[in-house]
Amino acid sequence: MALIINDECINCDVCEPECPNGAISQGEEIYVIDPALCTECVGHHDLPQCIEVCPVDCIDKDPEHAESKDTLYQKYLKLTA
Amino acid sequence: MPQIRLTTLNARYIHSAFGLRYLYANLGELQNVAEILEFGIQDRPIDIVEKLLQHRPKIIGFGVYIWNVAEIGSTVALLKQIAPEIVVILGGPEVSHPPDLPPVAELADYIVTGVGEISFRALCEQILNGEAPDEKIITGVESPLESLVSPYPYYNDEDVRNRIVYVEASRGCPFKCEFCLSALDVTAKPFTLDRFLDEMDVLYRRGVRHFKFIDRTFNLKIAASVAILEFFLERMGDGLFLHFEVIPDHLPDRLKQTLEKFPPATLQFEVGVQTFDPVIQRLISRRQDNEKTKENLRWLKANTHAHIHADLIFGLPGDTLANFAASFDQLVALQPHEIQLGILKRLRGAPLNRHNEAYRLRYNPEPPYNILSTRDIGFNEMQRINRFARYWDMIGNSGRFAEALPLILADAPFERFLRLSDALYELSGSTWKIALRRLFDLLYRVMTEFLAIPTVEAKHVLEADYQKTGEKGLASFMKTEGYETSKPSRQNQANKRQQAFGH
Repeated sequence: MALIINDECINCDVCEPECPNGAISQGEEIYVIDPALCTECVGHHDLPQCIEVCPVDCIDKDPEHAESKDTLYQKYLKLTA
Repeated sequence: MPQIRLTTLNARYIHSAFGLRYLYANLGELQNVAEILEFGIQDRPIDIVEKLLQHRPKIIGFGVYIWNVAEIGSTVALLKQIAPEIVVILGGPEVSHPPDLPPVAELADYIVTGVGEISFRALCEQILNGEAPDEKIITGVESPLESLVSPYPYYNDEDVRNRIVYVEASRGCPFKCEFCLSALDVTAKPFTLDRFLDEMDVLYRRGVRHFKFIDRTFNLKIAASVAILEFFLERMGDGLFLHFEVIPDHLPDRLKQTLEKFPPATLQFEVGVQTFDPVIQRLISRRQDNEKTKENLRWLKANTHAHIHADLIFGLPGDTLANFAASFDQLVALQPHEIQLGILKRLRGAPLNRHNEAYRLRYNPEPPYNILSTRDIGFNEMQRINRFARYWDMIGNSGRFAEALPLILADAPFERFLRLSDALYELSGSTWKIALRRLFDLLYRVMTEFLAIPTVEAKHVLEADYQKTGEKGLASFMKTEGYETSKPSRQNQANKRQQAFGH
């Protein structure tokens, strides 16, 4: 699954520079994750870096974009090709 | 006999050194040979050294901060003359950003930068085991917060009775405001909530009633903020008082509902606004939703009993008298209980220093490193605003001029208070040691002569404020129909002394 930022986001900008895929950006109200670019850090790190640093725990798995670890890895390979 | 002394100089007696208690708590077995010895910045360095040297410890660790770096410099200089063999270790924000170090760093044997709990202990162990490291500067190792030993048992009974007790529910800050050292933190991490509340419960049962949270931002994670507030709500009464730093643009409903339940005189919020100018905010990487900030400050004032202490900073890069005036006027309109006007200070390591050249930020080389001039603000203007801030504390923040202040500020708060400030300085020649009764007389003169407030109105509001001061006798302005003279009466020694000081 890709990750999604919920409305508890405080726009602190801590997550954006941590994302190895450049998937995070400032949206209209809060920060957003582009599901096409998010690999949940598969291929880069053991744990999703945005979740690691988020001070308010506002990042979850996005049920709208369910993906297996293998799919995420394929995505990672495509993105880094 | 202590082999390790942990010491610092606190700015005021009522303060307690939280950092030393963290270091002491995490010393492990070395605790048996360590002790904390606190002083005040008003103590004489030679007396401090005499006490530190009792029983000749092997190591003395100093907590170095902006308020004590000069005094610690004098203390360490004496110490190194008398007992050069004692190992001096420095830590704290003033020495954490080499190569930007104060002169005292030269005299020290070791410097532990950043967090100290793990690395200070390791260094002491090495020194006492005869394995002192070669390198002088040691980078403090961060460890997960849950692995730290709690400092709270090391508030002694005197601290509990007479001092502010500092507590910490989270460490670090996710924001990047460049004037602040917390901008260097990657993010904020909470201490385990249950454990923290258990520790608060112990402190409460020991008699602590004044809790000052040092969290950079108390209202980050709302579920945790609410849990902490509810813990204290259950213990309300008996003088309980809580002090928090909050960001103004994040007040979700759950938090609002909890804040509404607090009775009067139990909550104080430090609200950093700093500037409402969006251009400066961008320049210093401060993310603040100005509209939400205003809405929330209005809401807090209208719906809670919290004492609101809002901060502005003057002298930021790009700041001018005109846009500071605009920020001040916007903040006055929101009616916080106090507005703290801070003059920008240069903090060692703060990212703001990247603007020093482009904006010609010139600072006092001595602590408190206050700004003296910028590209856009001359030294004279800076001095005027320094006086403005000082008089604002005496007149605006003191709460003593509740009736007079609205007349003084009227429809142009900054412009009129600056006029007041300039006139008051011209008349008194000083911003210090103005006796209260004389201040009333001076204000009467400034209000009527410089702010065009009709004498009857000025007299009326100042009299009302004067009645509430508890001062004995009448101020001069009350004895006359209009203003005649501000000469002090014979009996008023305080006035006489003040005039001698002022001129």
